[in-house]
Amino acid sequence: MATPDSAPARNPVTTGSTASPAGSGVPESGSGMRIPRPQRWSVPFSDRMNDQRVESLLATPAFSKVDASRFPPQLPLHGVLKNDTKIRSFEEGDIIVREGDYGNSAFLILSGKVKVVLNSLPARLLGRRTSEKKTLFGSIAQLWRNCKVPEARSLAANTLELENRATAQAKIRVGRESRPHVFVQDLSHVMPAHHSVTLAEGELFGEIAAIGRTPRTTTVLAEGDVELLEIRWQGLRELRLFAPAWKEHIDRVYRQRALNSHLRETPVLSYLDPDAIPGLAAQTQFETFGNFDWTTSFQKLASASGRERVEQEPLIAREGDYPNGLILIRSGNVRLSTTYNHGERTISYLGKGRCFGLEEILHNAGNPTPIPLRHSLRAIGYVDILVIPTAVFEAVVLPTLTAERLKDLGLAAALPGKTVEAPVEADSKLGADMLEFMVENRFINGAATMLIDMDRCTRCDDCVRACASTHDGNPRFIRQGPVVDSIMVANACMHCIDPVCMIGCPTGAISRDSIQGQIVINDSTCIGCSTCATSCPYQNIHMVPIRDMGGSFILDEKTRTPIIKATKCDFCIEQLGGPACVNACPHDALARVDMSDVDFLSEWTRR
Amino acid sequence: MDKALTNLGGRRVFWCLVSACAAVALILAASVLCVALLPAALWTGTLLYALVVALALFNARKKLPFLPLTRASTWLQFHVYVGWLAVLLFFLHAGFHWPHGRLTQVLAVVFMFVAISGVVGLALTRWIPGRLTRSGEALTYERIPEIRGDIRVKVEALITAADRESESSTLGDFYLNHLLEYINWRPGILATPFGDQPRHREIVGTLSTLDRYFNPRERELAAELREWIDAKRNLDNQLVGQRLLKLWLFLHIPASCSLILLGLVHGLIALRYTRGF
Repeated sequence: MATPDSAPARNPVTTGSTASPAGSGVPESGSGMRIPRPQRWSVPFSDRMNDQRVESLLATPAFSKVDASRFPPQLPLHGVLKNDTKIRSFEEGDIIVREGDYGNSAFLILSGKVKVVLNSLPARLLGRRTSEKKTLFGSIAQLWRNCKVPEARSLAANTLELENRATAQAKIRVGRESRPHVFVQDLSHVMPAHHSVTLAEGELFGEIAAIGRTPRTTTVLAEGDVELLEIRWQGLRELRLFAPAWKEHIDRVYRQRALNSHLRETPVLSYLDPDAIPGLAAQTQFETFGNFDWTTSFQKLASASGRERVEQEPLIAREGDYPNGLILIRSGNVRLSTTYNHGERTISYLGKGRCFGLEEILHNAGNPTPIPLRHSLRAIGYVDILVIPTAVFEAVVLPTLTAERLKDLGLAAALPGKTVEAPVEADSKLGADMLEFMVENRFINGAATMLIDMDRCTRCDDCVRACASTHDGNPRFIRQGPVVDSIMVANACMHCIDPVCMIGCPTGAISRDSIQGQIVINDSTCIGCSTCATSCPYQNIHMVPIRDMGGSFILDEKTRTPIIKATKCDFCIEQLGGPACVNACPHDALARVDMSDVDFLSEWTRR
Repeated sequence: MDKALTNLGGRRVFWCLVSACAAVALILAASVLCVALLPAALWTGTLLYALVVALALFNARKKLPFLPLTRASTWLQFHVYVGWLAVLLFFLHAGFHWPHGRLTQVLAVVFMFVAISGVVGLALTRWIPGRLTRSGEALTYERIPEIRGDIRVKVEALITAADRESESSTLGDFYLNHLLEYINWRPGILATPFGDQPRHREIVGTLSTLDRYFNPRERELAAELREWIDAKRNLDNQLVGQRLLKLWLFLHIPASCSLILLGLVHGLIALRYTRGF
C-alpha cells in the first residue's frame, strides 16, 4: 500500500485537482490569452459569503473552539468557511434533505429547528415518481392512447401555477433563495403519523451521506423558519482533517451508523463473532479519494490519452509496496492495474463490497518471505474505502479463516505453502481492449448498461420502436454510441451505481426507485433546470421542450420560452414485461448488463 | 442475468432436437393417415395453415412490445424452426409433386417464395451485420443522405484549401474529373454488398498516381482526402447492407399476407368439395 511518505495521493487533500505540467509538452510561452491559474477557491460555494458573515460564524459554538492554527496556511479555517459554505434559509415544511437523494453537503443548524423523519415518507410527499406496473388493460391501451405528437403532456398539469403543480401533497414553491424546491403542506397534520426527531441550533446533519457518497437515509424538514449553514463536502473534509472535534464527531457518527453494518456484510469477516465487530470497527480507518463531482474532470479528460487519464486517477495503493492493511471498497469503483513497460495495464475493476490486498496479507502471515502488493489501486471517480490494518487483521480476523473457509471464499491459492498467483481477472475474461475501454469511459458504473452486439444487430430499430411504443411515442434512448470489439455501448441511461445525475436536483425529481433501484424522473416535479443532464457523464439525459396534445409548445407564461423537461430511459419500470428494448430484439443482440457482473459480461460478449 | 442470453449454442441444440422430433412425428402421422385411408391432405392442410398463421403472428408481436409476450428472440427461434417444419408439412400435404390446379399452383409458388425469402433473409441477418461492423463507423440508415452531404462539404473544403494553400490545381482537377462523380454516386439496388468496389479502387488508384505532382502540403491534404474517400466507401457499404436487411422484409411480409389469404380461399374450396357445405 502506498505510504503517506511515498504517495501524496494517499492524502485526500492533494488528490484529484492538482496536476504537474512537467512533461506535459505545453510550451512555457505562447501568444494565447493569459489568465491566473485556477485555484481551489476560484469558484466559491456561494457569492454571498463575506468576511463579516464568516466572523459571525467563527463566533458560534460550532467553530469558536476550533483551533484555526491547525489549518495549513493554504487552507485556513476562515477560507474554508468563506468558500466552502453558504447560509441557507428554509420555511415551514420545506424539504431540506430527502431520503434516497445523493447530496454533497452537510448542514449545521444556525437558528430554528428541523425535523428528522425516522421512517420513510411516502414518495408522493417527497415529490417523487410513484412507479406502479401497468395493468394488462393499461398495457394494451397504449395501442390507441399513445400520442402522435412528440413529448406531449397533459396541458392541465403544466399550465397550473407553479405552486400547485407536482403531486397531491408535495408542492413546489420558490423560496426566499429564488430557487424552486419541494415542500410538504400542512406539516403539523402530516407529521403525527410519522416518527421524527427534532434537531436544534448547533446540531449537524447530512455529514455521513456527504462524505461517504451514500444516499441520504432520512428526510429532514424545516420546522418553522430555519437558518442553516450548508458545508460542501470539500469543506467538510478539511474540517475533519484539521479540526479534531469535528473529526471525532464525524467518525463517531460514521462508526455508529454505517461502519458496523458494512463490516458485517463483508464476506471475509463473516466468520467473526458479532461481538468482535465493534472492536474491529474502532480500529478501522476510512478514507475518500477522487472528486465528488467527478463528471467535470472526466469530461475535461475526454481528449486526453489513456496514460494521462490513468495518471489523473488518485492512487490508493501502489504495486510493490508492503500491504499494510486490507482495503475494503465501500462505494465507487477502483482500477486494479499492474506496471507494464512504461505504463500501467488494467487488470480488473472492483466495486462496492470487494477487497484488495487480502491474498498478500494471507500469504505473508507468518511467512519468512513476504510478498508486496502485486497490483496498484486507483480511484475511478469518487471512492470511499475502509482500511483494516494488517496487524489488526492478523490478530482478529485471521484466526477465524480456516483452510476450508478460505476455499469457500475462493482464496484457496492463498493457503499456506501455496504460491500466490495472479488471479483470473477481468482482463483475461473480457480481453484487454474491452476492459480498458469500459474502465476508461467509466461504463463500469452502469447497473443496466445497454450493450449491443453489432455482429448480431441487423439495424432493424425494433428496439427503438419498442421503446417509443412504451413511452407515449417517444424513444428514450439513441441506438448510437462508441463501439469496441463489435460491442456498442448505446446512449441509454445506465442506471448507475454512482448516479452523479442525482446530485444537485433542486426538487428531487430524479431519484432512485426505492423498490427496483432504477433511476427515474418525476415529470411533474422536474423544473427543466438541466442539472441532471449536465451532470450525466455519458450524455444519456436529454432535455426536451414539451407540447400540448395539439402539438403546440407549452410556453412559460413570463418568458414565452418553451417549458423543458429532462427525459431518459426508465428501464420500462411501469411495463409488465420489463425493458421493451431487450424483449423486442429478435436477434438477442441487445442486453442490459450490470457491469459489476464481469462473468456475465464476458460470457455475453464471447458467446 | 438470464443464461439464455449467453448460451446460444445450447438453445440451438434444443430447438434442433425439438424440431427433429416434431418432423419425425409429422412424417409418421402422415404415413399413418395414408395407410388408414383417412383424409391426410385435409389434416396436413389444416395443420399447415395453422402453422402459417402462427408464423405470421411473429410480426404482430413486434407491434405489441408493451405486452409480456416473451422475448422477440424466442419468437424468432420459433419462427425459424417452425418455418422448416411448415416446409416439410407443405411437401407432405402436396404429396411431393407439383399441383395441377391454377389456384394451388399459385399457392405453391407463393409458399415457396415466402419460404425461400425467409431463408435468404435469415442468411442475410447472419451475414451482413458483422460485415457492416467491420466496414467502419456504425451509421444510422436514415442519416446516410445527410452524412453523404457532410462528406461532400468536407471534401470541397479540403479542395478549396489545397487550391489556396498550395497554388496547385492537381487536387482540384482530380476532384472535378473523378472525385465529384464518385461522391455523388449511389450504389444501385442490386449492388453487391461488401465486395471489392471497383469505383473506390479506381479513385484511390488515381489519387496515388497523382502523388508525384504533390508538394508536401498537398500530400498532407491528399492523405486527409483519402480518409474521406474511405468514409464514402463505408457509407456505401452501410447503405447497401442496411438496405438489403430492410428490403427482404418488404418481400417476405407482403407475400406472407398473400399466402394467408390464398390459403384461406384454398381451404374453403377444399372443404366445400370434401364436406359438401
